[in-house]
Amino acid sequence: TAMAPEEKGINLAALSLEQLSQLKQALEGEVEALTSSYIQLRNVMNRFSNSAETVKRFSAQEAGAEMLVPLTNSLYVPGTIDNTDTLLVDVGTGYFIDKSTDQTLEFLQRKSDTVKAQLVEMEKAMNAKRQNVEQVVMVLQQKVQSMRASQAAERATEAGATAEA
Amino acid sequence: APPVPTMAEAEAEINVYRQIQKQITQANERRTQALTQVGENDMVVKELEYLEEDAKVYKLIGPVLVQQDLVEVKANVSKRIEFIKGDVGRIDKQIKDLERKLEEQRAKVAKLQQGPAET
Repeated sequence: TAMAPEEKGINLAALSLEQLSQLKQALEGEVEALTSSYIQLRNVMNRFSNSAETVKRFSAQEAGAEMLVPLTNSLYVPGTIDNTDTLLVDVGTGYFIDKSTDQTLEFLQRKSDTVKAQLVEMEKAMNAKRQNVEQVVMVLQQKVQSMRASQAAERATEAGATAEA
Repeated sequence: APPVPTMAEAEAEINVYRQIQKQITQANERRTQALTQVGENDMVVKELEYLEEDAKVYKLIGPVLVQQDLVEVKANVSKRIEFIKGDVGRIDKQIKDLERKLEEQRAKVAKLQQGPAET
């Protein structure tokens, strides 16, 4: 569907070349920012998905099984799994909740769904911004073309005038 | 005859204008931060709704996890949300005042810049 240049809410046709150029840059900057946020959200979703996998694998273990307990990034000590039924879940703002494996997986799913919904909204916003950029570029090109055409016409009439004089 | 505004005066008023702009930007940053906190606390409230009465909730106080009473936690988080929303309201008022000041300053600067030209 072709969009009229005025649909952005700003009358693009009324802007100067410089203003159009600035607008294009501003919009492109917004698209870049949105894209970077989008990628960050995708990473968050991957981490939730990895957490869910870890939870599932952990719950398949037996209590009393041997494990290595991390004390630091590089130091582990041998230990045994105490229980595989309860997990301590960070729900935000400093609160932690004891949850069963199933409840934890449900929690992770809720978080993942929330992020997914945001991703969908973001995609819509990004596409809208990209369309705006295209509109601005179109009007910009039209203006440049009509400027060139009128400059050429001026030169032609000048040449004609000097020839007659 | 009224004194001609000097370049220095115009500069000074422009700096005041820029200062106000900076304050507005900072206020907006505080506003966004506050809204983010409201969002985070909101998520906690929603999660608490999924819990049974006997669910074990802990708060991280320093390096220690301290068990809390579920009813108390719900009340505390809700109170915190109201408090932060109050903050947002105050910041909004600050921003409105600053924007008014900005407009006044803008007019002031514009007048000074016309001054020299008229003479």
